Amino acid sequence: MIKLQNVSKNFAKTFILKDLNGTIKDECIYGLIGANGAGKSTLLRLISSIYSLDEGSITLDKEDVYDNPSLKQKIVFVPDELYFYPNYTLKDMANFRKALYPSFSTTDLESMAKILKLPLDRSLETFSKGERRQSAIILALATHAKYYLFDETFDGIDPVVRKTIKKMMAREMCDYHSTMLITSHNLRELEDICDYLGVLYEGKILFESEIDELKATRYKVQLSFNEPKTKKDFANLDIVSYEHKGKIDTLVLRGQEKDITKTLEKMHPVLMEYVPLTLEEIFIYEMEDLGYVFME
Amino acid sequence: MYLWNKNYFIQNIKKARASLLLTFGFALLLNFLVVQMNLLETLSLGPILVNLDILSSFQIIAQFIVPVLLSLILFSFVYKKETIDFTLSLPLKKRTIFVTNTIGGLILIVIYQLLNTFLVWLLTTFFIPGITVGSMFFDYFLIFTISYFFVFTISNLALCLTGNKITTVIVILLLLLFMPFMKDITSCYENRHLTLTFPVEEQAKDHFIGNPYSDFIWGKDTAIPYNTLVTELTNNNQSSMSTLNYYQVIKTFVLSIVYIVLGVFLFNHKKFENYQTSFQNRHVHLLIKCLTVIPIGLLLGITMNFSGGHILEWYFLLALITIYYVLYDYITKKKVKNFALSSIYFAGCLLVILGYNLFFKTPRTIEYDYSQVKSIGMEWVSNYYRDAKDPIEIESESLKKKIYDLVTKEPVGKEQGLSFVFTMNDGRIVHTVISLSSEKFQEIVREIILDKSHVDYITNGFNGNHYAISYSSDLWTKDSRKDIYDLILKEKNNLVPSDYLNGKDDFITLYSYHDLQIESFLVPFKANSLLMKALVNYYNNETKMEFLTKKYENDSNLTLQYDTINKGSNEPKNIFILESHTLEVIDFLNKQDIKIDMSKPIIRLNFKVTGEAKDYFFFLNEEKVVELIQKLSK
Repeated sequence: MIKLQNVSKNFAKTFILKDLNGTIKDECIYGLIGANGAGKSTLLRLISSIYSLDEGSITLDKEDVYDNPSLKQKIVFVPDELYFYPNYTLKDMANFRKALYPSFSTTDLESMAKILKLPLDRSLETFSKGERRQSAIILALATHAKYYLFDETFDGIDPVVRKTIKKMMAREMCDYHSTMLITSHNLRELEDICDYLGVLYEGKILFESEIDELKATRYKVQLSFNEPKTKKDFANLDIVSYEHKGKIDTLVLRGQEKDITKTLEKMHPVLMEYVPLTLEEIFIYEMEDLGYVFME
Repeated sequence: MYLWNKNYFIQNIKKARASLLLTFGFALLLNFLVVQMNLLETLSLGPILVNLDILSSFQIIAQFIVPVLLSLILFSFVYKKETIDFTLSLPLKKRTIFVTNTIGGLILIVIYQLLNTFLVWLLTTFFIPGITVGSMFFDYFLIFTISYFFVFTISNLALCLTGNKITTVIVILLLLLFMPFMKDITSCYENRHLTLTFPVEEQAKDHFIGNPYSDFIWGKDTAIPYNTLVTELTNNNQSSMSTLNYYQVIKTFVLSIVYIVLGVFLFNHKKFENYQTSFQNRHVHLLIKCLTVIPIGLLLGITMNFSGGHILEWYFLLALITIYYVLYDYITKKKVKNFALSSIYFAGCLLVILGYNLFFKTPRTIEYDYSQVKSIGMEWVSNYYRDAKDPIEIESESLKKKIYDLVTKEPVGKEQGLSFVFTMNDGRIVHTVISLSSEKFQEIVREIILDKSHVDYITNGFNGNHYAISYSSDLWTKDSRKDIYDLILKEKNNLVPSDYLNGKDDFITLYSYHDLQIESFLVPFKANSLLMKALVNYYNNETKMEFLTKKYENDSNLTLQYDTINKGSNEPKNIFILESHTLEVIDFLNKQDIKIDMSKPIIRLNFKVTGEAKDYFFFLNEEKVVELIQKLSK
């Protein structure tokens, strides 16, 4: 379990993360969503003890992670900007990893490389951006670590390969009881793989929830009334977003479908229709609700 | 092991092998070529003993470049986000990464210096076969290994503090040079405007040939790299390695260890998110900038001060400093937008520079009395039988007092000059040159040579670990001229002080390697008949075998000189050069017995063959030489 308690980090007196709290349970894939500059990468670097904390604590299995090599052997971090030693091949990198991570399996790496059609003996410098990222991911997965930290990890990978990699990740989690923390600003990349979702905003985790639960507690309803309504008329509901266009009121609401329906029916709408919500829409509405909007 | 990780080290070296090979290979090659050139250049002047200076000129420069490059190669990851991520996410402690790279760097430096020393030894053995001293090559290896390691540890420390490469180099230079430079520049200012004197009585007022002056040596007692560089640059008639001593070697080593410990601490606490600008904190940035401005300002200031500095030159200096102050921010990628704050630091800088100039420009005088004298040594007489950097300190208190009185009270004489070195209790060294009558000169010199310190030195001079012997331009290993060497040791007790005084023109030199230098001990031989006889036999035999029995068909390539090697004579004489009677001379000498009468005046004939570096000596009694000259003049 990864536990974040009052985590704060500032760069040149500007807080990137401030009093961040959160828990990432074992054996799950946790998606961390946030806009550019929200502090996602900084958080991953703090967990992998690249950066030091200004305040707070980060513990893995109740142990402080900072500069703790035995614990770091259980963590693999795949950053957004990749680096491989010059002229190294996948095989060379595998040997390097094997020397530092006892659980590293060259056989597993080879089989994953075969699936992804990645040559083992070619310099990684000659690989395309996508191939380099695939290589970094399979090098990480072959480590069979307990914790994986992936930063914008599907960037530059085509959809077919992305699907294969997601399968590999899921299998790794099942077979080795791993925990994965994946960051992205693209929610679509995460919704089909993550168990949990956290939204990072202005240095804090705004909310975290199981994806299934999130989908089951956010609803978009289109309503029409004989008498025009304002937002105030829906005050007894937990509104994420409200829009009034012509005679139609569109609401995004938090809560149970049953309760929401019951409350709305009491208002006697002429029309009441539930519109399917994607996870991305939920994310956008939640962010708008927090005032995160770009003015055009 | 917590502090060392072999796998990481091997991979880090493997990754950087091209850069490392290029750096070390290039340095090895250049050092080889420079030492070869130095050896050829020095050998063209005659037979030489190799000293550390001949071997070190490239190393003095390289010690500031190679270790810095090594540090930047091994720690290159600290300057890029992706490499920081890659390296620091490995399951290693930060201190393990730092110590592994530091020890790894030391291993590479040791290998490089071993190769360097081997190549230099190979060159020396090739050019000067036989006459080398092993301990000198060990010291060469030790000095530069420690010096490189010192610069390497400072570089590692600097990159723990800074965010980009250019600032790292600036901090390296500050750590290496700032403190000793400030110490030196202060002494230099002081030395310029400080008068040292003794309470001299009226009759001795015109005594001084030169007024007492303080000794100022750049880089004294500082760490190796600064010392060798500053001595090389200031070119004050001292070879760059001659001011070095073992104290400095140990000091440099101890400082390296301190810097490693400090480096481990700083690396552990380094903010790795700051990888582009010079420093995260603007005050630190401004402070470092000021620390670079002050030495430049003082150096330019002292130059102008000494040259009388016109007001326009000072404006020019101010303009230069201002331009530098502004450009520095662009170079180090950190702009301090707070103009007022930047101006305050700039004003502080100028105040320091101005204050230095004003404070040390004020003339001061220090008058020393006898109670402030720590030790006294005599410079000129010492050189009668030794060639070493420091004068011998006189032990006898009464003699010291007598010398002090001689300087301050003795009436002025005119025949002989005598030079003393006073080391004062405050650490200053005061040189005096005074003029004396011949009688007084002889009396005082005799007393000094009989002082225990000199007697001990002479004894040690004979007992020293000699490895070479020379006479005139001939240079031998001790073992190849064991007959002469053994005879010198046998006859040493028969030498008296006057022999040392009178022996300066003809002596056999014994060489030993001591305190990082080749020390020579000059043994006067002409006063000692047994020593003289051994030399005469050796040269007359050798010259007869190798020179006189050869046929020189063309006599134009042969010159002949002769000097009087006469008992009691101090003046060497070049009587004439003969070019057209070679064969006659050779015929004449061939008929002479190589054994001569040692009780009669002796003359040394010196043959020079054009194109040959070697001199041929033949010793004859003066009467035989007169006979030869008369024969030739007919």
